Amino acid sequence: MTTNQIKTVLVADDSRVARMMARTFILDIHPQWNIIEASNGLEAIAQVRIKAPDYITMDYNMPDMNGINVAEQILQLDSKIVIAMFTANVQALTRDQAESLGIGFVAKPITEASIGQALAFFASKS
Amino acid sequence: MTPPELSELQLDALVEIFNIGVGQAASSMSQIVGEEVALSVPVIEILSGVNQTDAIGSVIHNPRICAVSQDFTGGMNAKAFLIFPEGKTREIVRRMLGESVSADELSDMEQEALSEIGNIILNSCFSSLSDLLHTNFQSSLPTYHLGLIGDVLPAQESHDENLLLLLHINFALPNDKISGHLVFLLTLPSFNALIDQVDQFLNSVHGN
Repeated sequence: MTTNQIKTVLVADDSRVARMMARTFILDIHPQWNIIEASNGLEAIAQVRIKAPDYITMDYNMPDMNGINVAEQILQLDSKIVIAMFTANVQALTRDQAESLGIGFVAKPITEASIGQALAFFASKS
Repeated sequence: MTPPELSELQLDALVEIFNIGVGQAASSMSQIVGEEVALSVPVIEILSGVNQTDAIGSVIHNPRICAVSQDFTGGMNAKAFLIFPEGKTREIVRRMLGESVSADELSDMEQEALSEIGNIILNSCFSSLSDLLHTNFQSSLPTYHLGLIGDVLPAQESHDENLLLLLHINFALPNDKISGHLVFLLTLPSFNALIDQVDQFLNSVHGN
C-alpha cells in the first residue's frame, strides 16, 4: 500500500472556491499531503514542470484551454502523473475523451464524495 | 417569420427531455446544498419579436436578480441562465462552503462561488440534453450578473429571426425558502435544429 506516502496533488481549477473545497476535502483524508494549485491550463503545465506532482485534479472549463487539452500536454511531459478530470460537463463526448487518455472522470460538484472517487482512482493507479 | 408549430408529441418530447436535463441539474444542486431540491413542471414558450431581457422578465417577477449565464454552442446554440432573486444567494453559498467559513470570507467569495454553482448546474443540465439528443456542445465560462434584469443582461435587438424558445423551470430549497429559475433561450436556427433532433429522438423511441 502507498497510503502512508506523502503525495503532492495539483488542483487545477479557475474557480478559487472549487480549489479551496478540493484542498479541504483532500486534506481531511490525507492531512500530510502537499496541495498545490493552478488557476488555468498554462499554470497547471508550469506547476507540473516545477513541482512534479503525483496526482492532478483537473477542471474542464478553464479560460485558456479545456482540461482535456491541458491533460494531453501534461501526459506528454510526464506519462506517470495520474489525472482525474472534475467537470459538470458530463456529456458522453467529454467522458470518451477522458477515457481515451486514461484519465479519471468525476462529476462536479466537488464534495467529500466526489473527492473520495478521485482519491480512489489515484490509489488504483499507484 | 411566424413561430413554428409544434405537434403535441414534439412538445411532449421536448418537455420530457428538458425534465431529464433539469433533473440532473437538480441532483447537482442538491449535492451542493445538501438538501432536497423541489422542481416545478417546465414551461416551454415560443416568443417572437422580443429581446432576451423581455423574455426573462416575462417569467421572473422579481426585477432585481442575481444570475449566472453561459453560452452553449454546438449541435444547438443556447444561452442558459441560472437566476435567483437578489439577496437570496448568501445562504446557498454558505451551505456550499460549510460552517467553517467566516462572514467576511463568505461575502468575498460569493460571486465566485455562484459562478461555479452556475457552471455546474447549467453544464449538467446541458450535458444530459445533449446526450439524449446525440449532439455535442462547448460552453463559455460563466458570467455573473447582479442588479436589475434590464441593466445586467445585455440587450439584444429584436429581429424576426430572434424568435426565442424559452424553457423555464422553478426550483426550490424548501428548508430555506429559496427559489430559483433555470431559463434557456434558443434562437430560431437552433430551435429548428433542436426540433430535428427531437424528431430523431422520437423516431428512435418508436423504433422506426
